Amino acid sequence: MIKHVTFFIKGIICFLALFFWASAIQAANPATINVTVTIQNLSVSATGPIAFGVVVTSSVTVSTDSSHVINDGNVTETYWLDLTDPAGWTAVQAAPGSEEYCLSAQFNSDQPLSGDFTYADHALSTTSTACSATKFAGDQTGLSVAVSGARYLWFKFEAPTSTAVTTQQTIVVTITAAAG
Amino acid sequence: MKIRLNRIYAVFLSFLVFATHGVVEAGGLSTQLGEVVIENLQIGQTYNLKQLANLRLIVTNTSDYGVDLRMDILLPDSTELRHGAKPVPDTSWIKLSQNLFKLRANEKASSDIIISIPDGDQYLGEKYQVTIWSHTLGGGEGSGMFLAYGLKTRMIFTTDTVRATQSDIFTSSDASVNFTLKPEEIFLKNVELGKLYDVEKNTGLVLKINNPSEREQTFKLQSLTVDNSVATLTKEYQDAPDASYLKFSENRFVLPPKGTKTIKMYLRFPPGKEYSGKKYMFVIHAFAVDQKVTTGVYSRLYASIK
Repeated sequence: MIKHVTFFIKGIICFLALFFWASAIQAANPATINVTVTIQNLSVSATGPIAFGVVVTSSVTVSTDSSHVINDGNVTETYWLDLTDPAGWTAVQAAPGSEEYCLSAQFNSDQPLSGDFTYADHALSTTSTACSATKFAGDQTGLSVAVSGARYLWFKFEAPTSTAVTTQQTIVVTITAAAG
Repeated sequence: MKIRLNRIYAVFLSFLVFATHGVVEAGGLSTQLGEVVIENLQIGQTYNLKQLANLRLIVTNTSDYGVDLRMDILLPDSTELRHGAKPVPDTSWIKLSQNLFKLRANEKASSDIIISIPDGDQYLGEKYQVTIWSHTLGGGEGSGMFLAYGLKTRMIFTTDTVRATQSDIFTSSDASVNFTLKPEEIFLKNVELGKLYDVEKNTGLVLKINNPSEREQTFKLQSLTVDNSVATLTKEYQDAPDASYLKFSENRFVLPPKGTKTIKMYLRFPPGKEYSGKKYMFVIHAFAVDQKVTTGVYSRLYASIK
């Protein structure tokens, strides 16, 4: 009997505690809205376009000029790279076939050799991909670039093995900067 | 014969695919909004950040030439999430007043950011993140490989844990986050333990707070640990062990319209082997207090201990 009364009283106490807690929550004042700009100046600049000169089907060309990419903001930045396919051609991250091409990018102080590019680390795609210690890296990286930091971005173009495209093509590579 | 000619024609054209016009130009973008954190929004409400805190997304075309600029709302991937935030459940929660622009060299694009939070208890006390990707659309005269430029603005917002009564709900204020704190990053090297490090004396750097508005504003300045802020710890640095190690020549001051204030910084780490050789990050928070909305900006101070 005493056991049942104790259990009942405990139950009442729990119910009351829950009730007052819930009431307190409902009656609480809303918190002040805070708006904080935690990173104030994000900026990137680069030189272009990149000339490949004359290319033929099935050829492999490393650009003879690089794009000079500069963090001209006031915070450390990491770059993201992606490309936009031209009509009729599709970017692949492997050896290209008919109507396919592979465009690779690498941050390096001097012109890299063709063999310095790998599909896994350097091939661009239509998905924006963050630079890392290995991704798009040569002897420089696009990871955590300090304020005023300059990088040289080189490209390698692997042409389609064959193409029915009979007009000149444009590929756009986007360099995006994010804080961090 | 006809087939042979067509083949020759195709090969000839493929030669031209990557011939560009050859003029190298500098292009780029910049914004004053790299990351913004908005805390304690009410569920079931719509907030235009311009009306709430005089905050707009402004992007400058720093290129030597005109560009087409687009702003897109993106869900961040898992590597981009900060401070335990989740991706916003639906990008339709975020709207921009304008997202397509034609900009001449050095021209600015400006857009309102509007956040609409559905009314549902499941959204109480949550932290969400979204990315606004401002990017040029590339292309140019001729053919070849062209560069386009982009900036990712991180926007993180939290919802209040409670519903406000109708009389407590507001979506606009006189508050303005339109002020600057510079420099945004300060790096100190060889800080000696147990000695006062006068930042100006050692590096020539002082904090400058600028009030570009047309009204007088009262500002406060405080040092924060990363843990007590809404900033993200920078790689290779540890959180400051104690925010009070960093002090300022003034902590509260009034700035007239268009006024600028210069503040000195002093750092003193106590003697202690545990700090030796380590790298610490402090957050410097300048903020203006309004009755309804607090607006602030951050700078970061990095101290490498001798």
